[in-house]
Amino acid sequence: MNQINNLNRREFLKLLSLLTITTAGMPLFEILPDQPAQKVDDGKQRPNILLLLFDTLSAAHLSFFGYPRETTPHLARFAERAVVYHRHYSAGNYTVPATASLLTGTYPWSHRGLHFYGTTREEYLSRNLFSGLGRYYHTSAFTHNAFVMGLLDQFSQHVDQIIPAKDLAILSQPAAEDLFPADFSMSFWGERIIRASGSDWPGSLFLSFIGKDFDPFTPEELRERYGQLYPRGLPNNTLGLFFLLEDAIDWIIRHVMEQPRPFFSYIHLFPPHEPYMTRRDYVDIFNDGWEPQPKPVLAFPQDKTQEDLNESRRHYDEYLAFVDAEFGRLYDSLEAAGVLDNTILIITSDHGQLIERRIHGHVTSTLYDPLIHIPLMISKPGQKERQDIHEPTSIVDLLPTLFHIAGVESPDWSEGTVLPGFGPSQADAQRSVYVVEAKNNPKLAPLEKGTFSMIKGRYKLIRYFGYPGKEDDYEFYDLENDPEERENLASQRSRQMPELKDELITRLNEINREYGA
Amino acid sequence: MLQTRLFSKADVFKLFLVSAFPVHVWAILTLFKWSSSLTLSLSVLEIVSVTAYVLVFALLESLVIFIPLSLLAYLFFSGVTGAHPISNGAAIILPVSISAAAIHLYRFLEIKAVDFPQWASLWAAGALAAVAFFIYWLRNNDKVDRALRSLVDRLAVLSLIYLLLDLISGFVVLLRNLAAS
Repeated sequence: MNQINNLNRREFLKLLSLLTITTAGMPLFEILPDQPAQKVDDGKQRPNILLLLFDTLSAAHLSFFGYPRETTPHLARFAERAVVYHRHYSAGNYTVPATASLLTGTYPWSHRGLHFYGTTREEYLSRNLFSGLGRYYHTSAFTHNAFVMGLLDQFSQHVDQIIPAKDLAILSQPAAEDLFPADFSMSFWGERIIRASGSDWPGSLFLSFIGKDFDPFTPEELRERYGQLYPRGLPNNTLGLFFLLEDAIDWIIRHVMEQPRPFFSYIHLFPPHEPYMTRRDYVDIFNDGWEPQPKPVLAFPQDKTQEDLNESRRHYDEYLAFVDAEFGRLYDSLEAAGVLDNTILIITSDHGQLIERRIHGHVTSTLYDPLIHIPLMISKPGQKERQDIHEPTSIVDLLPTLFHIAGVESPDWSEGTVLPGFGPSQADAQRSVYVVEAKNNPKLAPLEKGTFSMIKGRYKLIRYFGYPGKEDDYEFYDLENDPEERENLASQRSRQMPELKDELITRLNEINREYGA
Repeated sequence: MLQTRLFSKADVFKLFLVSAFPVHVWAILTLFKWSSSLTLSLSVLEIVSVTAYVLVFALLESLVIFIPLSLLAYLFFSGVTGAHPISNGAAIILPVSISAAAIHLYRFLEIKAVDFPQWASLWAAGALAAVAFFIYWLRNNDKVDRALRSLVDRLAVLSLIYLLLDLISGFVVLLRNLAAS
């Protein structure tokens, strides 16, 4: 007490400033993760779970779903011993919203990872695949995709092992992962601003001129070293990470063998995402002159000509064939090692790719099927027969399904249901599934501009709202009669469209009310 | 006497503030450019964290730039111009910063008339010419010396504010990483 009384004014001010800074820092402190929780051993036998996600894998381009080019013979082989979901939909059209939906079992309007570098709302730090499965499973994760790494960083308190992307890279330019591994998502954001690329200027006025000189290889050296094997360039994640898919596949084989049992591994590989850097033996394999019939251009066209699109499509398909071959190598190794006898292997994607309607890519405001219809195949331990599911399912269903398989309590916050083929109930053919494109809205605010899609039964509704010239515009398709979405039925007086429209608008209003709209 | 003239702590610090000024102005401008994206995507605390990383890097960059700048200002140009090292420092850093900024703006402004190497060479040559001109001017004109020092005094006030922000940023970065590791 005496000591406190003896404080002089200067010491008092020092203490006050320290207290202020510490208090101001507390919220930053609180959002940081804790250490992984201890495993619970309740004596139950649980299968291992290997969730393998190929980024930007559109179901529309898979040969065993009817695509004219033979892009995926090895995935087709795997499908023969798996539950195959023919109408599986993502919840978003690019990485963050879609992957966050997969990992949290909620739609983007709930988790709010709406943007390129987006993160989820804080409550999902303890509501995700890792938090549920982590109680019983040894959890691990790997991704080439820096945006996914941001999400994994958020959920890291429940991940026992996050394998840094640079460990499987030939060249990794970003430094955030090395310097600030404990705070990747924010430091990566910072580095993105400091380095910049393309049409952005870097936030570093001087050092940005010499930064590239510290890389072990220049782009020219990489071309020289790998140009023979990869004539179109070395696979990379467009943010400075150069890698070989072969290395990742070799690593997965070793990783799966070495994991403590039971394990849950989430592996998010970048291919076949752009740039389409296929290996030499797949270059020009689809130089077959085939051209798809052009589709109507109704929304947000880019400046791509049909020739551009045909060329991009061919390169995508060739890259996909290479990815498929590497998957085949993995599949054979896992099967030979007997891993699949006690492991659930899940093959899926985060979103698709649109190479039509004058658009190439997935960061667009449209939600046509090639963008959002993704593969989902799940092989149960020891499964020998194929099972086909034709009802609509969503990426948000994986979390409740895996929780169900693992015997984890069913989460009341998830917006998904246990997938047909795994749950106690039959598939609901009239269930509504949603896809949300809302990157033009603030993270925590009513959604006033965006594109929503709703698939119910055989019908699909797309709503554009808040865009100049598309304040409240609709497209409506009968996917059973028109799976390629060529005929927009919105202007026809369909009996079903008002029903879907009301349901979608009601849902949006409910969501926006949560944010004070 | 020599030590007082060349290595006064206050002068060295002021020279550091001169180095910090353009680096921080550019970093903050860049943050403003990203502001719409940041506010769309992140919560307030996350924006504070990202800003902290950018400003901590700006502090580091200021220190890195300060070393060659002080060497040039003290060891070389003092003998050439006879002007105060702070004036020498300002005469170097200001045109070089403007030139660097112009080079970075090339892609942003979508200048198609010249290709990038030509554009960068043009501005680098411009910076060298401007520095040479300033040095010549300093050598022959006390008024320029006084004007530059007066300018630096004003910029230093802003740089001090930036340094305060850097320190807070350093604390934020430290806190986030220590707590998470």
